[in-house]
Amino acid sequence: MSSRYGHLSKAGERVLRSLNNTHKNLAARQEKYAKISVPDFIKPALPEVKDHERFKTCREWMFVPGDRVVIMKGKYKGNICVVKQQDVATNGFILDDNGPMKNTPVPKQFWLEGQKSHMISVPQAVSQKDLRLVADIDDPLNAGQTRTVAVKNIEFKGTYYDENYKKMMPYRTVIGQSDLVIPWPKPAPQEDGELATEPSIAKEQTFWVDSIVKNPIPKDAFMTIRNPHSKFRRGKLTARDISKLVAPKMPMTDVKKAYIKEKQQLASRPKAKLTDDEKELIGEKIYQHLKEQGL
Amino acid sequence: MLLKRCLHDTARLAARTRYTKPKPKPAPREHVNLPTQRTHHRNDLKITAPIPPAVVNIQCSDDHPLWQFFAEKKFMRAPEDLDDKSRPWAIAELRRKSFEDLHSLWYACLKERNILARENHLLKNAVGGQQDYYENVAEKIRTTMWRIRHVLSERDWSFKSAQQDFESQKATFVQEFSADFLALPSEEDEEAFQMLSRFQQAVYGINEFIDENVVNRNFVDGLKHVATLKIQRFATRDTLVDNFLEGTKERKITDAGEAFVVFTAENTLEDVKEACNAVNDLRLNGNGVSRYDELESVSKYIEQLAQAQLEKST
Repeated sequence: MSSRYGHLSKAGERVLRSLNNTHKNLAARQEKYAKISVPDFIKPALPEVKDHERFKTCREWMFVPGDRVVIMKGKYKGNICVVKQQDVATNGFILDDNGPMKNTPVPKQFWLEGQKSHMISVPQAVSQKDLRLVADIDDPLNAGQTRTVAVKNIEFKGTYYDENYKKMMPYRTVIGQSDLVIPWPKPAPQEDGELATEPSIAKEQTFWVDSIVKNPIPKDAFMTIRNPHSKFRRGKLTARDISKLVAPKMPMTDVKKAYIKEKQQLASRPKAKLTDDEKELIGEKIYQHLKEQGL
Repeated sequence: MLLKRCLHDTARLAARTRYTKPKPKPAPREHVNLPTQRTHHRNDLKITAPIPPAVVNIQCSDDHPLWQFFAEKKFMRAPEDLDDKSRPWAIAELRRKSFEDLHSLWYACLKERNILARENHLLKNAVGGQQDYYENVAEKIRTTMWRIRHVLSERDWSFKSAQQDFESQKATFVQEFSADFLALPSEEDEEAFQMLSRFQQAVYGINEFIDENVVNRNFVDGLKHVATLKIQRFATRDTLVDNFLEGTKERKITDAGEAFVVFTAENTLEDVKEACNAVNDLRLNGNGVSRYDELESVSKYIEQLAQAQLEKST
């Protein structure tokens, strides 16, 4: 199935997505063959993580590009490196030249500019649990001097507006010593994008309420701001919706039908009316009876 | 039926025999559409080498409207030329912007999304790529766009609820303002009348720009109230104005025509005195406006005033 129009229409999207849902018993096998089929220079050092497991916030990442870390495990144990990049696909960190490297052959069509040999060294991603943050803290023994230490574990407390990142960031503190804040590294300066707006223009207030009589929005704009006929509005039910919500009427049984018919027949019988003679007769009878009683 | 029965004359004229006089030829037609092809097909056609498609052969003016679907007249931008750093406008930022600003921002967004959609379509079809870098930028712009709609919708709801709440507080507010306005000393006249101008715009929708006004019951009531306030402000300074005010019912102007005359007068004692005289003249001549014709008459006055201003400016 081709997905060339996937960006225009959602048709068939669910089916395509379901192709990726492999059974858990088959996942390991599929991963193994996927690993074999990927050429060595693209092969990631760490296993790929699923979409929902990927790190998104800086609290999850803990280290950001520019941070100094020490490697705790493997051949490169003890090396202090600078984080160059966060590897989104594996939740790992790409480190500088002090970090783990792999010599691997690269086909000629993928050669970088200035490359002369087939063999190049590619940095390998390192997982978060194998790294510790390195920080310079005030030395308690020698006042006025700093010591470089590796922090066993960090925690986040409170937030502040970071001028460098231009957003709210948590304070990164040493666990068990919450007054020892390890600042986030200053990111490399970057120019504003071409779609960006000047802060002075963005901040400028041009909307002022000046009348309780005149609506600030022109009448003609309403149909494009808010759809009054939207089916999601409260109180909008189509005939179809109502037919779905209202239970159908139960058909009557034969017995019930016969009963109703009988009732109707009985009701339609002519009503007997007492004639004057009959009334006279009844009156006579009552009179006789009362007379016999002696009343 | 072989023979058709006719009257004597008709039958004779309709009969066609060898000896009857032939009908005259029809006059040549004047407006005749010529056939599209009047000669033979050309038989001197030759087979020539095909013209290869080249950019040189395609002529396109620089201001062609379809260029608006291109960024810097490029077929496709490279991913590093895209702006993936900028964030969408926040709702709090959009709340500060007027309708005109939001309207133009909307169209700026729409144009950019059109460009990105074109490039994305080419990437997915002509190039055969699977990447989402055009879509990622477009998604951020889309966020700005729904936020614009959200802010405008929210603004409308708050306006409506404010209007509803104000109904019960209007009388008190107007009373308080009137007291404040009349309490200001005469040295602060300029400030007082600026206050009045804001007040009339806020409560009655009476705009400084004459042609933007909509005449309705609220407008006419406002006209009367503003005129009364104006007279009351000058009544303490001049006996003529005070006498005029005494002559009105409950020290208020209730006639729309009179209110209009006072309203249009400049905010100086001389002009207000002049307006009072004019109103007195109107009363002498019995030129009052009936309450039932108020809306029509006032809209006519406003129209005339707008016309006069237009002529004055040109």
